[in-house]
Amino acid sequence: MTAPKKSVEIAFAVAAEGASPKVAGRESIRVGHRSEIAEGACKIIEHGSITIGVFLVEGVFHAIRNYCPHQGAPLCQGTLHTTYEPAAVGEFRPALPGRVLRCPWHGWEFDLATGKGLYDAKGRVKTYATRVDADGIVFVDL
Amino acid sequence: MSDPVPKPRRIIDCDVHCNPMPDNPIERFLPDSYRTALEQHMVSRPGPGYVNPFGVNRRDAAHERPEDIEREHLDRYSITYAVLQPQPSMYLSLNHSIDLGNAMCRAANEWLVATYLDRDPRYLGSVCVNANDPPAAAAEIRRAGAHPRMVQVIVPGEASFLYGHRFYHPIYEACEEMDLVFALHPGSEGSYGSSTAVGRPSTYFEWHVSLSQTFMAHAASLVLEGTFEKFPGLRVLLAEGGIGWLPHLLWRMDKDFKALRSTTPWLKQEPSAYVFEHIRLTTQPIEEPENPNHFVALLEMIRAEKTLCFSSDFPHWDFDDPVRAFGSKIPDATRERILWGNAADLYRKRLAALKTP
Repeated sequence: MTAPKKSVEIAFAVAAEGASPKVAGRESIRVGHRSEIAEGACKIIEHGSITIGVFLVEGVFHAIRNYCPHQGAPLCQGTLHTTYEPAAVGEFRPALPGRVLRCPWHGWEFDLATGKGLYDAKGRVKTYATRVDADGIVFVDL
Repeated sequence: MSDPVPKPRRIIDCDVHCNPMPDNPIERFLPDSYRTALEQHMVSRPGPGYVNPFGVNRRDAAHERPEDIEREHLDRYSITYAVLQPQPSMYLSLNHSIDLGNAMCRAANEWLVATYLDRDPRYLGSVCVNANDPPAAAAEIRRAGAHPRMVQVIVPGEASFLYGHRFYHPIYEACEEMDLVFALHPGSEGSYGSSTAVGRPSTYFEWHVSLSQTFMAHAASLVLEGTFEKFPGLRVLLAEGGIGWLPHLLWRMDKDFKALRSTTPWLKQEPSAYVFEHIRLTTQPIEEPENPNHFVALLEMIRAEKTLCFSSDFPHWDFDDPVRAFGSKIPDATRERILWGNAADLYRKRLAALKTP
């Protein structure tokens, strides 16, 4: 019998599943040409009252709401890191290479691909599907 | 305190002190080979240097002998079980000579069995160990802990390392294996350096009110070093360390965890969850806020119905009475958990093997 997963193990399991399937939505926002976003960089786009950050990590575009659920900080002004996944005492196992977004205010960790907070079972930031068309234009689907 | 409080049916007192007597010293149980070492003053340790100017024991109650404790405390308050914390043996970790510290721990444990545990079924024992020699301490836990009335291992708050340090892992392995609680008790703080994080207090008063700092530091260390991931069966009792500081530590650990978790990747849930699962606290000397509702709120914050165990600290000057100490505002169910249920759960495997007195 395996022990029930603890909260951080649940968080990493959610992140490990990767981006949840997203239906191409009712509305698409044009981000710009793919050449505008360098590897590891972010472009902020506006949509009504909210802003969304579009990051490029290892050739994949990730879109995440620019709003930390803690105190509303501009999350996408944070930095990208690798983190350590849950492991035995004394063990450091690198995880989620380069795709952990750390909030610029209080350092909370979020998986960029899924928006999952990496500190408990429930914390999450909204993410959006992205696509690149034949002309190299990046879109965020809402 | 004038409101009537129901007389408790059952009480476990988690902190009762006993002392060696002139006609029954610990050294009686020391092998003859150590006589010369005794004459060479090799049983010696540093002390904190603070003396209560008015005496550390109650003036109104004899306490020197087992029959005194029974008459003045166990009978008077209908104590079901009293967990003995032997003085000064519980500070033997600080003995200058590692070897004499180990030998005196063995002697102290045999003294406790002969003098108290085999005398009255209300007594439960604490195994004295030398935490500065963890392999020897682990061996003594397995030896002395085999006695059915031993329920925990006792170490001083003053220590060579914070107790989450892996130096102590052999001790935790033995505690887990023997179903013994790992208990910390203050009194020696300042023996090695300063009893506070900053400098040495000027008075016994100042020393005494700042002892909780030690417990905060050990609690954070035990949780954040992953002690409870490594030893999931380990249970820790923080005796006489206060309770009012715990909400701060719980909330601050959980807050920092959001950002700093990756520096302790072995933590698989929020730090407070480890506290609620593995750490228990004793009541005395209980905080007494001017507004009794604040005390009730504090008990809610620390989930006292799960975490808090009654202790009297008999026969010391800051003794708490099991009926009067908590006032009349706290819920009866919480009171019952404090006086009986939480400690009964903490020691459950050991108590289950005993006949109820």
